[in-house]
This record gives sequence, structure tokens and C-alpha cells, in this order.
Amino acid sequence: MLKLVNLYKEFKTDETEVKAVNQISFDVPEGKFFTLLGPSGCGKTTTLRCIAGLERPSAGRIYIDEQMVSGGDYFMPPDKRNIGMVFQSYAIWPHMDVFANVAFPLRVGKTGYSKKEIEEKVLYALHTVQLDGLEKRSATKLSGGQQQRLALARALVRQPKLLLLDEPLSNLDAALREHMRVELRQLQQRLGITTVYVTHDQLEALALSDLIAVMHDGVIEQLGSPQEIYQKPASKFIAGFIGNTNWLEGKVKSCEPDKSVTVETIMGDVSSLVTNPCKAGDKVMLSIRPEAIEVTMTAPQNGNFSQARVESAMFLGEYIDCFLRIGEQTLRAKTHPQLLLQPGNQVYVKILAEYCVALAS
Amino acid sequence: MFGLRGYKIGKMVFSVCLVGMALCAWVAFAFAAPSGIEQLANYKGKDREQVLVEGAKKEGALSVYSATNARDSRPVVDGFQKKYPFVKVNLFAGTGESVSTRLLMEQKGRKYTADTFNGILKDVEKVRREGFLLPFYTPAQDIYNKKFLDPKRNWMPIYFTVLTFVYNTNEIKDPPRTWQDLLDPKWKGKLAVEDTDEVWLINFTKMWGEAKAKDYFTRLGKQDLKIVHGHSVQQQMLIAGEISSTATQYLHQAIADKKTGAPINFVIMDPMIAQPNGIALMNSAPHPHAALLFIDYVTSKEGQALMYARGRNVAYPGMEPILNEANLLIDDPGLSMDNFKYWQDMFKDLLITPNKRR
Amino acid sequence: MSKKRGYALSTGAFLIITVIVVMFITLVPLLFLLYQTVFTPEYAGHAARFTLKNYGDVFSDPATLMVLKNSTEFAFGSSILAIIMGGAMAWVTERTHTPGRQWMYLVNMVPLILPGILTTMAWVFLLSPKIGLVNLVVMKLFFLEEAPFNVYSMGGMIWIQGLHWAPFAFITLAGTFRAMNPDLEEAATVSGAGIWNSLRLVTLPLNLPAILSLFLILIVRGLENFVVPAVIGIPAGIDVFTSRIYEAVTKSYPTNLGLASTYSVVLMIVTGVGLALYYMATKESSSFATITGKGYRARLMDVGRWRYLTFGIYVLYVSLAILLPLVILLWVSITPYSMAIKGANFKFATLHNYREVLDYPGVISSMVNTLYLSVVASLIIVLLGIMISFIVVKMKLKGGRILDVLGTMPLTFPGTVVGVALATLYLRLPIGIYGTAWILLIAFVTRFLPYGVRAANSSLLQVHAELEEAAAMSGASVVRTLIMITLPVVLSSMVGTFIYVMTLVIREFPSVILLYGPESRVISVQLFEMWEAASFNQCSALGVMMILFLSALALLMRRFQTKES
Repeated sequence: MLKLVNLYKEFKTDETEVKAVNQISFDVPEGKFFTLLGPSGCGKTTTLRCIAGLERPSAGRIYIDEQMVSGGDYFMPPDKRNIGMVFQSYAIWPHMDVFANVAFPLRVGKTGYSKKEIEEKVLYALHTVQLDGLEKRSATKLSGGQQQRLALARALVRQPKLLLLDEPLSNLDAALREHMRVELRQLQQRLGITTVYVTHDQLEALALSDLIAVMHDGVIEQLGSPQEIYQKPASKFIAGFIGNTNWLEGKVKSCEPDKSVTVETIMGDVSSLVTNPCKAGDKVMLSIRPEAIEVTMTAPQNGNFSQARVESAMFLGEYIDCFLRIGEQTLRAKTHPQLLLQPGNQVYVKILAEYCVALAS
Repeated sequence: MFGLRGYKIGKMVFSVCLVGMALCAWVAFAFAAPSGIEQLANYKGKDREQVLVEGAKKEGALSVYSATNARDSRPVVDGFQKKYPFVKVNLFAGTGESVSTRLLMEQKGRKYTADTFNGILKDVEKVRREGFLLPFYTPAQDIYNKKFLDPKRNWMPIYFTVLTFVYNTNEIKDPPRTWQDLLDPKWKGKLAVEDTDEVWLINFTKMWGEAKAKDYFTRLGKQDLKIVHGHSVQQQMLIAGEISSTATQYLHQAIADKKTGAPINFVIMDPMIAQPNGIALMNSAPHPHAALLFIDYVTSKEGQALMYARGRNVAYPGMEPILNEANLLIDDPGLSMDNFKYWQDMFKDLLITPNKRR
Repeated sequence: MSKKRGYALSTGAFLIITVIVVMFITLVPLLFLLYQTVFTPEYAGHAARFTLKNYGDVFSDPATLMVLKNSTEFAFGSSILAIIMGGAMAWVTERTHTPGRQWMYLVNMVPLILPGILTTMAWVFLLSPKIGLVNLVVMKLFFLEEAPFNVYSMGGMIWIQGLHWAPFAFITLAGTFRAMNPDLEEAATVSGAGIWNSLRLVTLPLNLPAILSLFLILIVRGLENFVVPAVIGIPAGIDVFTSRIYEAVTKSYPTNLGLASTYSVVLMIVTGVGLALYYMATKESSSFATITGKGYRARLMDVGRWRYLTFGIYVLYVSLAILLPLVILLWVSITPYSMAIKGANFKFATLHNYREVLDYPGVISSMVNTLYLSVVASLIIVLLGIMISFIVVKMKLKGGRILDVLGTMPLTFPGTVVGVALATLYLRLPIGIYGTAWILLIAFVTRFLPYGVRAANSSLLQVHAELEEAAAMSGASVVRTLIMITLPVVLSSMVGTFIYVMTLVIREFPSVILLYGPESRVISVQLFEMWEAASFNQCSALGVMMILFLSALALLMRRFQTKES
């Protein structure tokens, strides 16, 4: 549905050249929810704007629904691309009421819709985002959540082939954000509309997406499903960026054919997954998710384990966030809330291989 | 005689009178012109200059309000300061309107800063009518041509602004010789009129009588005149060739422009209107000695020479040949000030309105 | 508890001080004016008598209606022209990728200091049917018999005034566009609106308050303009209101201040109507808050191939509004007297005029005075404007609107009236500021406060209430909020206002002419005197020097700015 080939965009200022997007390529299949995830300045918004046509790429090609919208000398202006976009600030027009805001795309487009058609489509769009009954209200008199839904309705009213969202949830409070997350996902799946989503919030990305592209310094470092990204991060950066992780230094002892590896660490030998080819003697860093650490009060029956001392433990309702010290190393773990950990306790720590990843040092 | 009660009342009345007199005296002292200046202003003694110099040394300063532009006022002031370095001169120079309006406002507001004022007679007369001037004597009154002087001695002429026919030499090849020439049809569309030159109408009426003057201007008004506003604008238009000629432009300006090489020439008409620029003494002058000294200087040969060097048509006998040889109508604004609107309307009806393009 | 009282005290003091200052500044000339209208002139032994004759004269004169019509046509026509030109340029500069954008601010700011007499004369030299350069060139190129352009017409007057104020319109509207959230236009584009629709349906309605504000200001300037009607209108036979006022003040004996004031009152009624319409039209705009405290990086619309067209429009505008008159002035400044621009005349080129100007008594000191006064006056105006707007827009007090009206009212006062009123008042009061720089300062603040108020209004309306509410929640008093939150946010958009108020002060003449003293001369007075006494050539030289000076200053500022960012 959406295809980017070697997208390249640089910005020239008086002194420097900034390569905002550096050779990015990906495909988004129809009906999928695709997220560009990364920290500020990684180029995700620029990529989105190139897809929308609000930025002109320096090089590369973009295809929407098999049609090239940008490439070489050709550039289709944004108003011709028939996409829906939701801005981070929503960009609701304050001088129009709710109805007029949503009706705008229908009124300015080349296709002439009759008054009746417009009314039907607008009401339907409002209904889709659950804003029924608010047509006459001035757009400025809506709450933050309502404004966001209005922006969504406006983006969807033309039933576009592609929906672009630029960090639409970042202006909402936590509770609303969670709620909207669910709604958004459900809506997208119901409509089956191909969606590209931009965010810096990795939790959001993991929750919403079918596919995630993690971006850093203008390139895609990894592209995969949420599970893949989380459990098998391809680089130190990704592992650190997505969720919390512990780092353990080690040396490869042996590489098994089933893509697992034994690493010699201060905790003893640890088995772990590996994403890149390796050989014995390589220096690696083990990325260990907090939930990959089993903490018990009594020694486990099998597997590698070590003894550790509890430095601190915070009860967070759903789990306990604790810091465990093994020798010089501190590991952060998430344990079952019923474990009554106190600072100073001696515990046993076991690392679950399937949740560790060995990464090049 | 009146008894104790009468004595008490008498005492009261007497005290009130004393206080009242003191008040009057204070008011008179505070707000009236300093006394003694009248005598000084008319001092004809042989030691006049000495007396004035002594007094000026004590006063040490002088405020000159001049309606002659700064560039032309400055040399005279500088000459004066060179000769009498103990007097610091504050020159406030500007256009007639701004300086005279300021002067009147200040004097009415009892702010007595000005010592002397010089400007066109209309402005001097305005100030005189408000009672702010003091008649004075200056030695130059004995030398100057009597017909240039003010019989009431409220002002002395410094120079004259002469209005005459000025034209662009590229446009006009055969200038007129008399005023009547301008009524010739060949002047249709070639003449401009400055829309505030009522003085022309007024003085010609004085010369010819109302009937003849009215006839002349009515016929002139039919000559497709170009209307301009402001003598400076008129000057620029002449030089640029935008207008071909005008009946009333400043002679000294025309002479100066011709000197720079501009395609300008003028005609010494018979007669020409001369508007005196006169210097007057403020009756509340804070530095009367310096003021009179300055008036003496400006009207002396030395001062007049400095003004002549600026191209002005000065009043000093023999210095400005044009004034001696030409037939001049000396404008006396006092005659027309009171019914000025009458002249304004006539000027508009005869010359301006028939030539409006819309 | 005492903290709360402290807040109330500082808020109260703030309110009281602002209100008093504003009332003093605006009501004094107004009351003086009204008072004058019902009196006969006071002169030589005749005391002023109460009379209604002035009103009778004005309203019974059949020419009054014609004069009103002319004035209105002139004011409206030139304002519309200025807004269209300046607005189009502002949009192209702030919203598109057109090359050469970064020079527009500079290029537009510079001609703002040129006094009207110079630009008007320059246009006469360009468009006069007899000697105009443009006419001569066009006639030659197209083999025409008659000059196609005649500057001596209402059209000519509108053209000159419109072009004279277009740079001002540009700077105002460019500031407005810059402060706008670009998302709003991008949302329109993405929703399918082409450039024209986006402009028409989103940009213009959102910026309506600022545009109307500008329109009002330009209309008033057009109504009170004197130079263009004098130089062009009189030869063309077009009379306007200001000529009547001028006549009544300067040409009548005795000075008929009463009549002048009555004409002024009529003018003020007209502008008052305009002001009322403006208020009605902008009632809803309090909800147009678009600045939410997130920094905007300027985002530009890619107009693709159209950018060659827009660049062409740029060139056209700059040539017409800025270069052509400047070229004329430059030529005039290097020739001893006005002569046609042709190869043969180049041998006359000389720097003599510049030498004469520098020699002219008082030129240097008046330049220094002007600079100093304009900076101080602009500062006061901007700050006072923000304070007033803050009270009106943010504090939403009941009497707030009145303060806004008071602050805007001086727009309707003709310059001469302000001068006369202030002079009369301060001659009577025992404060010895008459003839000093202080009274000039008061005159400038009185005259131009409305610009500060209107600009601050536009800026403040766009600041989202959230920003200030956040401050309030953290315990900041009104004054604190103003100083620490609103001010910094609004200040950047007020920089443009500061600059153009400076240029207005530099150009100001009618109020200054009656108030300046020997120690407080300013450049407009200087120029006026030189115009009367010397020649157009020397005045042009002075004008060119002013432009060079300002350009150097602006370039310096620009370097300083880019180094910082």
C-alpha cells in the first residue's frame, strides 16, 4: 500500500547540513498499523511529512497505492494525495464549528459533493469517533480529547487510503491516553485503514502496532513486530530505548546452532538469545529485561543462578520494582507483588534465557 | 472720631489695602514687563553702544526667535557672537508659522524667553496686536530709506522677500515685460499660481484700485492656470520643467538657483511686491541690552553684509541694487489682516476655482 | 496571608497606574479639542466667546460633504492598496519557499523612515504627465502620443499613499503570520485545499483581527495625511479635510483654532465609526488563541514551480514600492538641481549636496535627538500597550473595554491638534517641560500609543490562556504573570511593532513642530526647514543619508541575530 524507496532528506542551514532522513526504505501492507518509533530528532516526523507531501524529499521515491507520489523530479503536492493526517497539535480551526471542520476536506476537494452527501459523510465520521451531537459547537469549546477525535474525524471523512498520525496522543493526560490508545487501535482495525503512526513513546508503539520501525539518526535500525523488537533488539540502542533493560558484560563461550549462545559473565554462565552471528571469544553485552530475572527466596532447582542482595524495593501495585546487587553489578528486576522483599534480603536470581539477548559490545 | 469700633475697622481696612497693594505689586512685578526697558529702548545717547555692551556683559545671554531659516540666520548670529563673545546666543530659527505660533503661545502662557523676533510683517503684526512688542530706536533708522521704515517704530526691516515673475528657460523663450502681457492668450496653460499668494491680489488692488484689479485677475483666471501649493514645491516644479512659469516666486531663490546652473530666469517686473522681514523687540525681553545690541548689529552695515552674502535682498541703503532701481510695492499686512477672509475668497474665486481640474 | 495581600496590592497598583497614565495621555487632547470647538478665537483684546458658529460653518458648508467624500476615498483606497501589497508580500515571505525571503524584512524596513514629502516628490518625478520618467520611457517604448499615467488624480494620490504604507503593512502582517501556528494551514493543505483555498478559508479568517486593526490604522493615517493632498491634491483640484484644518490653523487671522477643532471633531467621528466597526467585527476573536507555548519552527509551503511567479511578484513589489522612489531620490541628491535622468546629465553628478547637508546647522544633533527619542518613546509605547492589552484581554475586567477604547482613541487625533493641546496645557502647568525633550516624548506616546495597544492586542489574543493559568496556579500574581510569562512570549512578536513605531516617531511632524525647543530638535523638523529654505536636492541627500544609516544599523542587527541563533 505504502512503499518508500531510499528516502533521503537533508536540511541545509547557513553552517551545516543535517541529514534528517538517510536512505530509508520500507513497505507497509494494506490495512496494517505501522509505527515509526524513535527519540526526538531521529527523523520520524520528517519521514511522515515526506509521505504527506509537506516536505519535499531530497532523493528517493514514495509510492502510495502503487502510484508514485514523489520521486526524481516528480512531486505530487499534498492536497492531491488524498490522505488523512492528524497533527500533534490537532490543528483544529478555531473559527469554524465542529461540522465545518470535518466538512472542510469535502468542500475544498476537486470532487464536488452535494450538500446532502457532505452532511451524510460528516455525520458518519463524527459517529465513528463518537462525537455525535456536537456538530454546531464551536471548535474551541471542546476538551482535549474531543479535539483529538475531531481531528481524527476530519482525517477520515474522505475515507482515504492512508492515515497518518503525528504523535496524536502526546497532549493527553495519562488516563485519557490509555483509553484513546485502545479506541484508536480498535477503530483502525475496524476500518481496516492503512496507518502510519509516529511516536517516541515505546509503550504506545508496542501496544498499537502491527509493525514497528525503530529510527535513530535518520536511519531505521530495526523493523519488525512488537515482539521482535522487544525481545530481540538488534542493537544496544534499541534495547535501551525500548523498555528498561539491564546490561551485563560477558564473553562468548560457545555459539549453539539453534541461535542461542552461552556467555561467560560474573554471574556465571548465562544462556541467551542472539540476533547477530557470533563466535567464541567475542565480547558481548547481555541485554536482560527486568521481567527476565526470576527472583526467589530459596535456591532454584536448575539453571544458572546467583545470589544477590536487595538494595531497594518499590511496591508499584502490579509488581515490585527492585534493585539487586550481585558483586559489583546492580540488576533491576520486576517481581511478583506478593514477594515481600526488604532491603538487605538475600535472594536468588535466575536469568531466563529466552528473554536475554546478547549484543555486540 | 469713629470710636474704638471705627478704629478697629479702620485698621482692618488699612491692612487689607496694604495686603492688596502688596499683592498687586507682586503681581505687577511677577507678570509685567521689567520696567526701565522702555527708556533703554529709546536711548539715543552718543555712548549708546557702550551702555548696551556694559549691560549685555551682565546679561550674558540672548534669545533670538527668527523666522528666517537657520542656514541664513546663522551667519549673522555667528558674526554677532564673534564681535561680542560675552553674549551666548540661543538661536531659535524656523518657518514663520512655527516660530510665530510658538512665540505667541509662550508669551500668552507667560513664558518670557524671547528677546527679539524677526519675521514677515504679517507675523510681526500678529505679535504686536497682542501687545508683546516695544517700540525702539536704533541708529539705522537715521540712515535707511524712509519708505522702508515702520512709522510706529515697532520693527526694523532686515531684508525683503521680493515676488516676481520666474520661468523655466527651456519652456519659455520670450518672457513678458509687463504684467499686462500675461493676459495675452499665448500664456494660456503656461502660468502657475501658488494658492496662498493673496498678497499679490491685495497689493495690486492697492495699486490699481479695486475695479481694475478685479478685472485683471478675472481675465488672468481664464488663462488655464496650474495651481501649486507651497513656494518650495513651486520652485522644484519650475526647475524640473513641470510648470513653465509663475508670477509670484521668490526673487532671491531664483537668483540662487540660476547661479547653480538651473534653467531658471526671472524678470524684474514693474512693480514687484516686496514683503519686508522685520526684527522687533519683545517688551518682556529678559536680556534687553543684548537684544538692542543685536538689533543694532543686524541692521548695521556689517550685519547686513552677512545677510547679503546669503543672497537676501537686504534693506541697507545701496547694498542691494535691485531694491534701489526697481519699483516696489511694499506690502503692509496690517491693512488686510482684519478682513483677510474677504481677500482669500476673492483670490479663490478669481484664480483658483476656475482652474480646478475636477 | 500577607502574600495574598501583596498580590492584591501589586495588582491594584498596576491597574491604577496604568489607568491614570492612559487617561491622562488620551483625555487631555480630547477635552482640549472639544473645549476649543465652542469658542471663538482669542486674540488682541478679544476674549474668546462661546459660540456654535464653528459647527454651523462646518455643517452648512456644501463643500464639506465633497471634502469628506474625497478624504474617505483617498483613505480607503490607499489602505486597501497597502494591505493587498504588503499582505501578499508578507504571506509569500512567511509561508512559502520563495528565494530571497530573508532580505524582505530589511528591504521593507528601510524606506519606512522616509518622510512623505520626499517620496511624494519622487513619484511626481516618475508619474507626472509632463516630466515623469516612467511616462517618458513607456511613451518611447510603445510609441504613445500621450502620457499613460497622470499622478495628479485621485488614483495618483492613492497610488503614492498606498505604496508609502505598503512596507508598514508588510511588517505588521508578516509578524502576524509568523506568530500563527503553521499546522493550521498544513492541515488545510493535507485536507485537499490548494494554496488559494487555504489562504481564503484558513489564513485570512484567522488573521482577521490583525488585518482589521491594520486597516483601521491605515485609514486614519490616510485621513490625517497632509503632504500628498497638498502636493498632488491641490494641483489636481482635490480638497481633503486636512487642508481645511491646516487653513484654519495657519492661514487665517486670527488663528481659528475653534474651526480647526470642529473639522477635527468631524474627522474623529468618522474614525470613531471605523473603530466601532472594528470592535464589532473582532468580538469573536478572543477564541482564536493559537500560540500554545510550543515553539514553532517556521514551516513553509512548497509552492513548487509557482515560486518563480512569487519571486517575480517580489521583484515587482520591491521595485515599485521601494527602489523606484529611492533611485529618484538618489539621483536628485547627486545633482545640483533637478534635471532629467539621462546619460548627458551624468557629468553634473556631485557630492556637494551631502556636504551642504552636513554643514547645515543642527543636522547632527537632530539626528542624535531623534534616535534617542524614538527608542525611548517606542519602549514606553510597547510596554504601555502590553500593560493595557493585558488588562483588557487577560484580566477581563468589566471596565476593560473602556480602557481599550481610551488607549486607541488617540488614533483619531490629528497631529496638529495634539501639538496645540499639549503646548497649551504645559505652558499653563508649572512643570517646566515645555520646549524640552520630555514634552516631545509625551506627544509621541500620545500619538502612537494606539499602535502599541492594537499590536499587543493581536499578540495577546493569540497567547493561549493555559500559559497564564499555569502561572496563576503556581501562585504568581497578576503582575508576576505579566512580567514572567506573558511578556517574554509576546515580546518577540512585539519587536516588529517596536521597530515600526520607531519609524513612525522618526517621521512624525505635525505635533512636533509646535513643541520642539532649541535643545530638542528632531530630524522631521530639520527636514521641513531645509525643505522650505534649501532645496529638494539637499533634502534628498539627507533622506539618502538616513536610509544608509538605517540600513547599516539593520545589517548590524541581522549579523548579531544570526550569530546568536
